[in-house]
Amino acid sequence: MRLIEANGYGNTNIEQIAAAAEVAPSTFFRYFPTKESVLITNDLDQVMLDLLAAQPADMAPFKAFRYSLETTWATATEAEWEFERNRLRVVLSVPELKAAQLDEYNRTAERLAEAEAKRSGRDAGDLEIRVFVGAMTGALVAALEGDQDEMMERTHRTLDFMEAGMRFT
Amino acid sequence: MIEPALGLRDRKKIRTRDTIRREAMRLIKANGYASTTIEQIAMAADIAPSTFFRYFPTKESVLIASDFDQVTIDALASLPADMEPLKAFRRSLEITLAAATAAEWRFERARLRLVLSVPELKTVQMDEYRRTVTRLAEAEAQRSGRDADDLEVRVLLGALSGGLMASLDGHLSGLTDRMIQTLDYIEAGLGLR
Repeated sequence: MRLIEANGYGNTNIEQIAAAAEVAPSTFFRYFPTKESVLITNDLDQVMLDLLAAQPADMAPFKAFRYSLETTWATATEAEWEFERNRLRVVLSVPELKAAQLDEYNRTAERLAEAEAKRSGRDAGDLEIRVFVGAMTGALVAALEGDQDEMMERTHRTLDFMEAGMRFT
Repeated sequence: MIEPALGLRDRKKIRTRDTIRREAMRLIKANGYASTTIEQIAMAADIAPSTFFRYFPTKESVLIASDFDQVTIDALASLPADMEPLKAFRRSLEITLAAATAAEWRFERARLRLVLSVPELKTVQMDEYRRTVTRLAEAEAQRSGRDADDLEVRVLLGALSGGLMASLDGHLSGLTDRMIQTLDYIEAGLGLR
């Protein structure tokens, strides 16, 4: 992240990252399969998915989702947030990384559908589950664009807006 | 589709465009997308290759352009400003579905079936959907008197397009019913209640 912020994504290679981290390039690959993946991986997703799967089956999907997301976020430290904001700032500004990030969100959406299906005792291919996850992902990705310092506030506003039946305020 | 009274020249243009698309579809279905050239499509449609390019900038675009999108966009922009956003979107989708003739609808399904089966075209179609979503957001902003980059407008269209894309699920049978069910579910608050 430090090297890419200083020199740009295209000008940073894995050898430089490995040297700065004082590891061999082969060690880099044991942690991240590609240069992209070092910036795309998000550690919080798995925490959120586990939390969602653990919510009671009779809880409304939106409430279970919001609770899991907000609880996960509350566990992140200010330093982790700072890193996440910088990460997104870099990722959204490089078209190649932005595309990889959107693919990653699609993969997370599939895992989200599986967690929600497991929680609610439904099939992961169930229309309502797919639509629910599609709508949540579509809305939250729409809220990503903009000043990253206000990303969290935009996400809360997004969830409030959806909870209020998507009527303009 | 309901068309205002058109002059002879406009009617001829629409006919030519329809012929190009129909012949392109027929050839691609028979011989595959990669093996079909613009020259072959032009010949089958009885036009010069240069005429093809007046209607479609690329080979891809002959299959990607949807006649339905513009109807939805125009319908949305024309609805009253005080209509609730989800109701306005549903209304414009209903207007689009009602305006399409059975033949147009058959063509659209055949088009989508083909497009989704060719990975290269599928990618282009997804890009086209994203452009359509942006234009829908602009139409919604215009209708409701808000900014096109307003967070609520973007989130509304993000949720609707995300939900509707999920309902497509790679197969077309019963698609319109699934789209209506999707809007019902979103309007009912996404399982909020």
